[in-house]
Amino acid sequence: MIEKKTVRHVAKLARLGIGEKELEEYAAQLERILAHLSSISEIDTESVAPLSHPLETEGSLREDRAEPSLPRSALTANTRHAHEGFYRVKKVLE
Amino acid sequence: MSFPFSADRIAGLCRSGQLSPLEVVNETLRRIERLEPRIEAFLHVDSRGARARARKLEGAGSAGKDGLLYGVPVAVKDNICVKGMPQTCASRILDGYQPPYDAFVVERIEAQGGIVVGKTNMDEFGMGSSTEHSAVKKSFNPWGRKLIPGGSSGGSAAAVAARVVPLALGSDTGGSIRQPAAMCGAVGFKPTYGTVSRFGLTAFASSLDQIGPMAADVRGAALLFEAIRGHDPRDSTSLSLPAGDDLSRLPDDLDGLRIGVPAQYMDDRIDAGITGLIRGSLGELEEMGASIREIDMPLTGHAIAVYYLVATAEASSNLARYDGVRFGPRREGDDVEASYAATRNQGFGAEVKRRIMLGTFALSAGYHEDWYMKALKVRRMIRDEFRRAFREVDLIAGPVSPLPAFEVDERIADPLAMYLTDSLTVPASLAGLPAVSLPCGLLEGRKPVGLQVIGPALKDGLVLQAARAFEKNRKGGALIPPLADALDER
Repeated sequence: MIEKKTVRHVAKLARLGIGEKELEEYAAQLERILAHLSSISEIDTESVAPLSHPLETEGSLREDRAEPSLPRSALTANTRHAHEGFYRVKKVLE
Repeated sequence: MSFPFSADRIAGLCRSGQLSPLEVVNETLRRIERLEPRIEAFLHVDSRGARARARKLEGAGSAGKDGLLYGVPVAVKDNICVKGMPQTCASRILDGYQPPYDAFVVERIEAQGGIVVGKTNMDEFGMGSSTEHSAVKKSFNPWGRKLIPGGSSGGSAAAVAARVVPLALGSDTGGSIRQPAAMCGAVGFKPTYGTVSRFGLTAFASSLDQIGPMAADVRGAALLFEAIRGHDPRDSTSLSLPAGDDLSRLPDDLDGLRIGVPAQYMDDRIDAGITGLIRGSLGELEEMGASIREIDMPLTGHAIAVYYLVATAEASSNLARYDGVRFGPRREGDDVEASYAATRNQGFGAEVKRRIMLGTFALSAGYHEDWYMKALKVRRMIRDEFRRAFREVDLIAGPVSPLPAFEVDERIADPLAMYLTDSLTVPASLAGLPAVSLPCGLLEGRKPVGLQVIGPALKDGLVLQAARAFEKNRKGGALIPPLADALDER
């Protein structure tokens, strides 16, 4: 049902650099899990709308007003890769 | 006098000056030191901070003495932000992270005079049912070193059940408060979705995640819930509600209350010892004035499938933020994409990766309709099945878990077997309903069993009222593990 190549694709979409041997294990486990989860395919949902929020309330948004935020230094303190208030990453554009 | 471990007594004694917050903190730290080698419940203990906070409360004199949690120590699950304490969600990918702000619930606890003493162990990002998926260490059930404490809030459950702290915060996505509470013999309450702000809670599955109290008794759980509920504009799913019932004055009788017991919660897939104890508890509820009737909830058996598709899909999106750029260790690759992939593969544990892949699969082109959308439709049907049931009954009761605490390493190699342990807690989660786990007996003299009581949305007070009545009138009394009994010997 679920092929290794599908799992490889999924791992790529999820940005998980999983090795070949591990991919095989995951394929076998996901196959078994999905076989169990597929029980819901028997249920007739023809006239049922999807439910994504259990209470179906409107999300409440606060007033759009500028408020003080955390100082930049409080946030960059959590990485060794900060540089002059920015985050240093590998080059994205040539 | 043996030290009181109920939160309302501690607050009362601190208010009247018979105990000082510093004495309470010192006793808590002594208990942690004494029992931590046995239960391994904490990832971080902030002795200095807790003592400083107690001194500050004392220095304020009578100001603040009316706080609901005045002088009461609280342990916090490691996915809830406490400024100044490390937080990893028991994941390597957050190694070294310190949140620069407090979660809403932590602000509330401190505003009510509570003292956060440390952070508790959990399954990585809340993904697990035994706390064995912590990347840091395993925690142990206070009823036996070989037994898991349940999960994912296993550290919080073990700490309150062992009477190390009177109160702890857990979070519940598919049962992570109720199941460990049941397995350790503590009280665990998952409030109605939206009644407690998720601001400062590390997101796992946002339409399911809910913070809730864990305690040695119902009064303690109600006290902590009263302190942390309320509207917060920083969580867009936080409900604006009137103040709600006064939880300190809950009536404790059940006269006229109709309780439904779904046949599917008591069938042969549930451990026979557990259904036996639950039947005994239902009989006691009847003696207390409730009427019990069997009801039919045929979709119960599909809740695991819906839950593991919805929760993992949401997790795959929520956990996309862990890329090594702004926090946590980074593994460099040849380019930015390769760096993300290496960082994430190295930083996440096997169960988290499995769930991210399951969720990514359920959302991916070609599979989205058949898996994710299908699950959302069945989710509505499950929610509606509860609504129909609550037209006939006031509350629903049954077991929390289909099996009691199992042994360390017993189920870890079989992910599906682990998922199935959540079969009776995920239905209420999918419907966003309030549900509590109450200790109702022991199997084999050392494995606690939990009675689950589920209420209609926003009837949190009614659930706690029934819980209080059950606890007060139950014949067996509180479940106290032998190692906690020994705490008063010095």
